[in-house]
Parts: sequence; C-alpha cells; structure tokens
Amino acid sequence: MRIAERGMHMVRMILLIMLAALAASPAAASAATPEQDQRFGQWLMHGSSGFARASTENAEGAVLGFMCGNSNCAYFLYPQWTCPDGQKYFAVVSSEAGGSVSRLTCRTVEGASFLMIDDDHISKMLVGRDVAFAMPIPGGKFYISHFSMDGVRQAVAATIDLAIPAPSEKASEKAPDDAPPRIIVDVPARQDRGEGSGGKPGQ
Amino acid sequence: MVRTIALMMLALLVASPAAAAPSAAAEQTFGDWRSVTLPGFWSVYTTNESGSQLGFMCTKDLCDYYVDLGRPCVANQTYYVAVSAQAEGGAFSLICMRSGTGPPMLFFTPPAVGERRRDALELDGAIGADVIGIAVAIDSGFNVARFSGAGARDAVGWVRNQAANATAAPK
Repeated sequence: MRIAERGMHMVRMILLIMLAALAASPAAASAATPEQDQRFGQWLMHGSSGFARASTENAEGAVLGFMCGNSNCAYFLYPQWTCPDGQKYFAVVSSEAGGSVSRLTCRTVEGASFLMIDDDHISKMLVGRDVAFAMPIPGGKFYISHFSMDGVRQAVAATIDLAIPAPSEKASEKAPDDAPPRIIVDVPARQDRGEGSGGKPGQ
Repeated sequence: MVRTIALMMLALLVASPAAAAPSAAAEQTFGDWRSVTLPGFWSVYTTNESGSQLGFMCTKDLCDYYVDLGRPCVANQTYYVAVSAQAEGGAFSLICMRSGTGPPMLFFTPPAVGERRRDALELDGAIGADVIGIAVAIDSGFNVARFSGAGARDAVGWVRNQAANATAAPK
C-alpha cells in the first residue's frame, strides 16, 4: 500500500509541529543528515538524523504512525476527521496481544487533526497481523480503523535508530554528563531493534 | 472470591432465561427490555436482531451489566469494550465467565462487593440512549453490537428497586 501524498504532507506537518514543540537541542538539528526513505512491509520510514517517522496508511486513508524528534518519540493516528485541539479521547485497541484502552489527545495543525497516543503501552499492542482502534461516536456508532502490522517492528526500530543516534555515535559531541534521550513511549532496546519479524516492537 | 462466586451464580441463573421461566415471577416489560426474576435474583435484558443480549442483573449483594454476543469467549479472560450512546461513550473491561452448561458470557468487570459501583454508574449514563453500541475487542478486531435503549432506564431502575426492597425487607 502506498502512502498517499496528502497523508505524507500531513505527517510532515505534524513532524514539524512536534519538532518545534520539542525543540530543545539545536545541536541535534544542526547535525541532521540527508533525508532517507525505507519501506518495511506496509510501513514507510522517512526522516533524517534527529527527526524521523514511520507510518502506514489503511484503505480508508487513515494513518497510524510513529515519530521521533529531539530524543522524544510518540505514536499517532491521523483519522481524517477533525477534532478540537487539546481534546482528550480514548480508544479501545485490539490486536493479537489482546485488548487495551489508550488515551488520545487531539492536535490540530492547519485544519488537519491528529490524535497523539499518550500511552506507552500501545507499542506492546502492535504485534501480529493487524491492529484495530475503536472510538465511540454518539448514536451507538464507532469509528473503527484497522492497520497492518507488517513491518512495524522494523520500521519503528529504523525510525529510532535514525532519529536518535546511539550514544557512541554522539559521544564526541556530548559532554559526559549529558542526559540520555527521553523516550516518551516504550521503544525496543537498541540491540533488539530490527531483528526477526512478528515480535513485539515494544519488548 | 465472594464477588466471583456471586457472579458465577448470576451467570448460571441468566444463562438460560427460558429454562428458568417456569419458576420465575411474572415477566415485566419495559419498552424493548424485559425481566427475568428468580428468588433473590432480578434481571432485565434486551435482545437485538442478531440475537445478542445486553442485560443488567442484581442479587441482594451486587448488580452488574452483562453482554452476550452469541460467540465464545475465553473463560476468566479480560476483554475491553467501547460503549457508544447518545452523546457519550466509555471504555470498560469485561470478564468472561463460564455459566454452567451454557456458553461463557461477558460481564462488565465489577468492583468488589460493597465498593461504589463506578462502572455501573457510568453505564447508567449510556443506558438512557435510544441506541447503545458496544464494540468488544476480539481477535484483532471488534465485535460490534447495537441494542435498543427504549425502556432501558426504567428496566434497570426496576431491577435496582427490587433488589433494594428485598435487602431492606425484614427477614
């Protein structure tokens, strides 16, 4: 499945917003490398050193993604409907790992709404063949989106590797007492990234 | 443990309302909801076009909502469900409980006996809607069912009153 241009544009916008919001390390931004694209199954990774995202788009045009910038990472949904900026929602998540409930926060960028997934346990749900999100809509209805998990583990790992250089790579740039990267989602340990397939990306 | 035993008893009783009918009190009807009553047990439920049931039941000690989607669930496993009503929704956990010879059913996970019925109270807010939607996370997807809310508020109130009156009655 190919990521639509529109979806790519929106993802770039939210990446820029996140970068601005998290901008706390000008040194990392200045060290950016040329942009890279890599496909992992149904997931596409795009970015450069210090800033990258991985995402997949379903048949309805909704996007599930993962982004990292300035040593922070987060999952997000682009549901193709608008919501008030800052509005809190929840979604029930269903996958091979079972079910869970995730908290979401709407972020609106130039009229496009994104739902930032606030829980770090979401990464543990992204296993198996598909993951589905259900959000209630008034009137007994639901917004339900399914996304492929084909390639998610590798794509997330590649995103982290690209956006957050390993400590050894930055050793010459950083003072010994620099704080480690702050990861706001549960991400794979570096030695586990990108190995095998079908495993839990968050383990 | 007490909670589990009580719920198991409820599950046994509600598993086959038709079978229980001969000894049951006169059936009450509240819109699209109707009652099943046995000594020390009161319940109301509605059935949708697919045969799924949404119900509410009380003993003297506890009350709980339940949903029977007409498909198997894994006994003692926790499931998650999104509920959609008129203008509000909620997320709840369910526990699958085996009901004797009947199939396991999903009960909204209750707090311990005597605790504030937070989940039940939240569901009460949804139960007054015209349509109550339930999406249970199963098999990497959702099993969605919609139920009529016509009469639900009265039905649930009736069950609560019956249980409260029985509890208050001198022994």
